[in-house]
Amino acid sequence: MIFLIKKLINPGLFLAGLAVVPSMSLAMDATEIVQRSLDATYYAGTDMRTKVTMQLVNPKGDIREREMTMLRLNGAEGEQRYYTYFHRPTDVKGTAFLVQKFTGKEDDRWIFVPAIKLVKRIASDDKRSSFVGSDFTYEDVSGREVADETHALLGEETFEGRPVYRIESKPVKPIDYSRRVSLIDKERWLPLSEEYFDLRNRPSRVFSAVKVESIADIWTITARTMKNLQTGYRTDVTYQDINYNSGLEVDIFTERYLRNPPQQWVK
Amino acid sequence: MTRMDFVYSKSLPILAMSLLILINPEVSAEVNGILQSHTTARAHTESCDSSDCEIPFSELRAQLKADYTTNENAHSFTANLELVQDFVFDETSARARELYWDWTKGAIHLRSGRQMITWGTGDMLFINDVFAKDWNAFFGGMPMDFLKRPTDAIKFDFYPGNTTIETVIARFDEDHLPEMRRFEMQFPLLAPPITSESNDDDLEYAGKLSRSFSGWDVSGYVSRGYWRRAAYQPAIAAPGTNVFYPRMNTYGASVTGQIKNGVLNLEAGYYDSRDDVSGSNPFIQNSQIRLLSGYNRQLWKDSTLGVQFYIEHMENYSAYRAAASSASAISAELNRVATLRFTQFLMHQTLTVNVFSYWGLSESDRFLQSTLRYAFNDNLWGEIGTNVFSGNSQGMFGAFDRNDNLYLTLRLAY
Repeated sequence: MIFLIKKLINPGLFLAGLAVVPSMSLAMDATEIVQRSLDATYYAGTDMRTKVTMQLVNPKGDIREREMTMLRLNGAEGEQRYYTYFHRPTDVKGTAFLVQKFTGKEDDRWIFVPAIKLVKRIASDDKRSSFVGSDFTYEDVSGREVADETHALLGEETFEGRPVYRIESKPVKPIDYSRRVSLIDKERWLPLSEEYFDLRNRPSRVFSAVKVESIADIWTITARTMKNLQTGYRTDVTYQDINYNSGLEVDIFTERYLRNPPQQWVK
Repeated sequence: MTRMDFVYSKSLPILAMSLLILINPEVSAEVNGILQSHTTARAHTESCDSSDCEIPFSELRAQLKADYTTNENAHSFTANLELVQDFVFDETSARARELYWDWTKGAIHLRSGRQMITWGTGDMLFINDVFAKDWNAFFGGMPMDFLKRPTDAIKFDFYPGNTTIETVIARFDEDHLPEMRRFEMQFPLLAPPITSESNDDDLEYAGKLSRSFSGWDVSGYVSRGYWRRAAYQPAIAAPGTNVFYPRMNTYGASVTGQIKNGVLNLEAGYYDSRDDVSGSNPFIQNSQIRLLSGYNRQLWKDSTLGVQFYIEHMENYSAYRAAASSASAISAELNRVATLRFTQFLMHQTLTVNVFSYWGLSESDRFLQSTLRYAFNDNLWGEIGTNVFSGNSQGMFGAFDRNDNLYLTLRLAY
């Protein structure tokens, strides 16, 4: 909460608020809404385990599939650890990623290459790079920080039967999109739709929450899709076997388990 | 038939049996594998008098991998069995590339059997990764998976708190150097009779201690073993050559972490040449200090650039120089190498462009590997690549000058 207050008294945000929307109080709300939405999307529970299936579909309809197990553990002050183990395709089976995420600092990342049993440190300056060739970026998978963008509340409406806030977010530092417009569920705080615009303000990518379910009383997007409007590619993602708060221990997120997947969780 | 082939053929029934156990439906192991074809054509064929020389590599390789983990997760078994048909020399061979048993209990992990072990932080430059390599495969353009040779070992790992302790007891195995029948170069002329001392039954020991300190991975290494390249020493009393693998101990350390959105790695090692401590035997490598620094980071979306700088310093150089007049080529005291790797993913990461080059700064030679890999779908990829060697013919890469090649690999994974 202190973190949020600090963000709210950031002078940059005041200026952005003044410029974009008629009422300053609305601008402050927008940041809080986005923070809540990030928390609901990327920080739900104290830990999470899920099986992820990604289908990469090209304009001709050819499908490439990635299947992985993802483990996440929340730490103090927004720190998180992610462990991702690839089951498919066969050629990359056994590959595992370990990410230690911090707020206000670059992530630490490691990859395990099973063919030569190599653990390698990898650079993390690629938040906008594609995650395993999909239309999702690394940032889309493991989250961004609320202060990476300025936010403005454009209005409130109903989207597919759900009450939503319409929020416009603009990156603080120049990046590969100029703005994104999200529809955030007023009660569940999950983004139901996000539209990204490129630097020439043309629609570039569209995110949709295809299926939202309550898993152990936590509202969760269990099917999502990202369409690239400019290339015609699409990535469909489904989350299965989701468990929250199952007691993942911090030592799972170490080199030991990169080399030898924690069978209990990865099967 | 070499001793190794004999060992492999003797172990075939064991392989077949373990495979049968693993693919037994009641055991429910995960089974998959690859089918890979690899062909390498030589660029300079003027001096070739046979098709073997024009096409030094042409093979079809099938791998069958099976993993099985017991219900309580304490034991697991892994087999990766390989059948290779070499069309150049019309040879068929079967071997276990990996065949091991894992046992886990609490903070202990034990892996026994044939396994891959990779340590250290370098990219194609090795200091503390003392385990055997396959340079024949690498210079022939085989995929990176084949650069490492498996080790027959017992590996005992212990994880107290945040520290990792790894210990290895392994059977000695040499590097697989570029084969005389596939590469055209100056091989040492040895005076007959040649007597080889076998190290096959000798054991080697290695240990690694590692820990992370606020984002920096720090490791210390030690090993007691042998040089992986043979020493060719003329016999003393009568004409002849004695071929053997001299003793060597290594001590080293490495650190890797993030600086300015890139990854920095530093590694150092001391190679203690136990059979030539004074450095006065020119046929055995002197002790060395090896240092490596590397940095790699993203240039733009889906691209990575990595640079490395490496120094190898020979100890007791004057003693070596004084004695080296009888040896053929004189090595320099300081050997400096720089490398550069650029990788770019394109077309939704289905096309990978990769350029890797070694620059022998002391030896004035170069090696450039360029590859283009395309994944047709999730199961099939193809790669074309070139290996170009140039510069001083006495240098490590320049010596391969006449072996520039173009290769094609197709791999089907199932």
